[in-house]
Amino acid sequence: MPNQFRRQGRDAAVPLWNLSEAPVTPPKADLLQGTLDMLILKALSLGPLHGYGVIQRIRQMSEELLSVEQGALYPALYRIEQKGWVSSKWDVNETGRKAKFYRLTTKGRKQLAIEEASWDLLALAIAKMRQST
Amino acid sequence: MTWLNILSARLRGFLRREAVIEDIEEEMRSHVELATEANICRGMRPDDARHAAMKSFGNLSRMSELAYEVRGGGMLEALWQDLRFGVRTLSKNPGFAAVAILTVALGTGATSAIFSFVYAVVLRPLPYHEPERVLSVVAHRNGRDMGLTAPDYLDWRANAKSLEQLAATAGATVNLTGRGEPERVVAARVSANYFEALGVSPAVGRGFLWTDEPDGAPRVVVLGDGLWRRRLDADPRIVGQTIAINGEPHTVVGNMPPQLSLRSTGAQLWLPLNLTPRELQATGARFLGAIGRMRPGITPAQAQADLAGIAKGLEKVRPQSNVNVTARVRSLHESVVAQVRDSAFILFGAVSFVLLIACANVANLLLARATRRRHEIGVRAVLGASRPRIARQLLTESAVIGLVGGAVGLALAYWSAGILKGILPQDIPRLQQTRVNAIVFGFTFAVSLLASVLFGVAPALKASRPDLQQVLREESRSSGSVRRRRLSRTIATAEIALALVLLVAAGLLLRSFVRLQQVDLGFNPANLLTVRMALPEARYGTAAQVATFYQELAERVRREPGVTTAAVASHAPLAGNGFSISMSIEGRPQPARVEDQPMVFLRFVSSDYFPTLGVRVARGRDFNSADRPNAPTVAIVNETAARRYWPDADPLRSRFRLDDDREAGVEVVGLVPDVKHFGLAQSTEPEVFVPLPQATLMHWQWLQRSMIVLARTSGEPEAAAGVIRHAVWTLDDQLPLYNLRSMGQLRADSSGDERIGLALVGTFAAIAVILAAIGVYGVMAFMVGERSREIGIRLALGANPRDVLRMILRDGAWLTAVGVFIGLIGAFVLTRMMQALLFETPPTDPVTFAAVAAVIALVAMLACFVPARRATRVDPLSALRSASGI
Repeated sequence: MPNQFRRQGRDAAVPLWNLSEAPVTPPKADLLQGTLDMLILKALSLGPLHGYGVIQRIRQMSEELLSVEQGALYPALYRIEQKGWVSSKWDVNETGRKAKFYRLTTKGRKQLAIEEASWDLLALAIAKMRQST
Repeated sequence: MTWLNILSARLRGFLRREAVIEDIEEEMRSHVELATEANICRGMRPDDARHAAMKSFGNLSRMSELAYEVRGGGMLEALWQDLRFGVRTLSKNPGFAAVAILTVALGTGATSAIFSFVYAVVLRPLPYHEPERVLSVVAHRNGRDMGLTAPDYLDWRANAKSLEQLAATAGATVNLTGRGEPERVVAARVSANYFEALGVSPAVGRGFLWTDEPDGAPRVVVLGDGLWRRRLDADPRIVGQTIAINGEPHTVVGNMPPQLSLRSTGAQLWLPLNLTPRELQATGARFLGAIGRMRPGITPAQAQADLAGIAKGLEKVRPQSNVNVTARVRSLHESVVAQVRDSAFILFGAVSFVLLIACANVANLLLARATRRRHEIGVRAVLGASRPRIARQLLTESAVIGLVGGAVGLALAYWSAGILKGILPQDIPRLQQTRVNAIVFGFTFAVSLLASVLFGVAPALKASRPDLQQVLREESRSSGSVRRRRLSRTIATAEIALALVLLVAAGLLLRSFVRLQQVDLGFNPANLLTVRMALPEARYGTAAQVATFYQELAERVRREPGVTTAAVASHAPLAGNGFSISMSIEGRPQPARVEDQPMVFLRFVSSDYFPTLGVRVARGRDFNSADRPNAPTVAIVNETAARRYWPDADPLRSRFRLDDDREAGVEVVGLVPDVKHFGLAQSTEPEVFVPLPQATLMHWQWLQRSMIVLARTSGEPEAAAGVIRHAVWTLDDQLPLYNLRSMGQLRADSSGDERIGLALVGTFAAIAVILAAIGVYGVMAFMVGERSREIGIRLALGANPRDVLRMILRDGAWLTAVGVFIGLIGAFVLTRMMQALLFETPPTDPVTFAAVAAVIALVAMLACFVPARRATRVDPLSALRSASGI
């Protein structure tokens, strides 16, 4: 599998248009992405987790209502890490398996507070709109 | 700072690509493992658990790729890919790459070399402390800058509130003896605050103190870096030692850093100013230069107003000398660069034309190449590459050409900056600091990138829009290629126009130079040797001693073998120096305004001066042995003086007084034709010649007891140097001889600046014309190639090869005519800026314009002729058979 990956990246016969032209971000990315960021931060606020754990915890916390796709999770995690909201470290879990653990940073905690507040505001606004009709 | 984190993560992803990919894949695998484990916990069989985990994860490589999008190098990586691909495609086509890169190298190299000169000489701030506060201060009357008188200087210094320091300098030349041959060096007398005003600290020791000035004070000297290295072997313990200046011991108190000397011909040592009582009273002697340092926060305009106010007040205090005299300040930087700025910018303009033409040539090469790569580009487009993506790839290729060309150009610039330093006139301030430094490096980099864009954009935009259907049909003739052909033609036209402008500039300089060589010197310069010398005051105190020495010397030199006649004079023709003095003609009222006072240049000559030069006294008589010190004082005037000061009268037997220490008036006994004293291009000034025996001690002090020996030789003048030296050293072996020059050399030096300017602009013009010819040739050859099927059909249908030749030539002629027309208009507008550089040549000289237009048209048509001839030899059969026709 690693070989296959590399071939796409560099040595293809016509090497010009793969990486930058691939459809990375789905439409309405901003809203969805922002929401996903908040969910991940919230999941990590209870303690460090690996990627699989993040998916599981989001499912538990939302009482099975929300499920996050792996394909969306990792890019989001990496993006958040680059912004300095979480830090990552390779470690072993309770059963001795190697995994990369993500931990919320102080900056991430502040960001979570900001996002939660703005979500609450939005939810409140939507609720009021609906009541008024 | 979030963007910085992201950038550094991107950079990491780019530089440590393998590690990042490894990390992502590891994490994905770990994810699957964890999911499998969870499935087993839920009671699934291990195989099923793994299968289910992989299924729910989805396409692992796709997931990794999506993740890599975030963590990888992104744009950086795409750029890197493009770069590698660009280098690879270029190396597959070494001929094209070499031609393109060399063309760019020629353009950027020449541009960078000239820029290194422009930067060092014009743009760079002066190497002083807070140089923007340093001013050049001069006196000014009726549009003319003048030096300060000593009383003016002291009053300005005492009253200027806007200035922290006002320092004065006076030129001097001194004899150095001891430690090697006696030598005459340029020195300066400076006030104690001079170095402070400039903002330069001594490298070793100290500058001057006010206590160094008074007459009784120990004699001290500050050395320049050049003199210290050259004559004193960079002796590190020089401070405190004594050296002999004009035969008297002076203690070295300090040593200045190299940057203080802006010119290699400037002062090499400094002495305290120590104004003499006579200088302090001389209200007419404007011999001081002044440097001011403004107080912090003061603008030059405020300093100007301040000093002008002081000068206004002094008009009442010393009306006879100061009426209408005001002060003029400008930044020292401005006054230093004023002399070269225009020439430097014209050179830079000329060389940037060369760069533009080079870019045009490369653009044409790229266009032709893009046509050949039409198929490859089309395939990419069909496979889904977007237009920006293809254009970006092509632009990256251009950037590779531009940057590699720029790197080669930098080497060229490094090499040619050294040559420039050697050939440009040495009196250009800061010329020797021309070098390829970080600024020039940055400039070259920027110019290379700019050039890449210039020559890359149009071809990239054209080529990245292939007609896909035609590409797939392997069809070569397309509407795109007509558009491309039009672009090529436009570029070739522009090249012709640019080359024409440059050639006109070179042509004007050439014509001006020829005019300069044809100037009537007024004397015979052949076989004439000149050498300057000076007598020390210590051993030649009186006027009689000095005069006797020089007369005897002239007599001895005349008797030396190989010398036909000889004379001594205070100033030789073409050497471009002298000093002027005011004159009052007897029997005329004193003019009301100071500036109407007649001024003449005063020259002291021995009796054989005019015969030695080959100048015939036009009227009256020459000097003779009867003109002794106690005989009636006499003078000879030149034609300019006669015309200006005796417009309606005969100067002969007229009497006048000079502003010197002679009580008796001087009688004009002769009139001589004008001789070029100040240089070929300079107009002749009124001159008064005085016989050497009648020079007073005051005159000798003005002259610093220095004279020029002139010898007319029977053979090569340089060969007579030895006999003059012999004659001098027989009389006194302690005397330095310097400025040994034949009149031929002086004449060449006198047009040296013009010669160098012509050589440089001429070289650029030649390069431009060659490049433009190559460009036109390339475009025509390419068009003939593109049209070879059409031509084949014409020939097959019975067209006469001569008609084909005419058809192609007509095409080229049209292109040339448009280029020449645009170029002529451009030249008409641009050459006005050269006005100051041209001697007796109007910047729109029709002869030059016509000649250059003809030359360019001829060259362009020759460049068209070769491809046109080839067109007539197209084989109709093979042209019809081949689909592409190329």
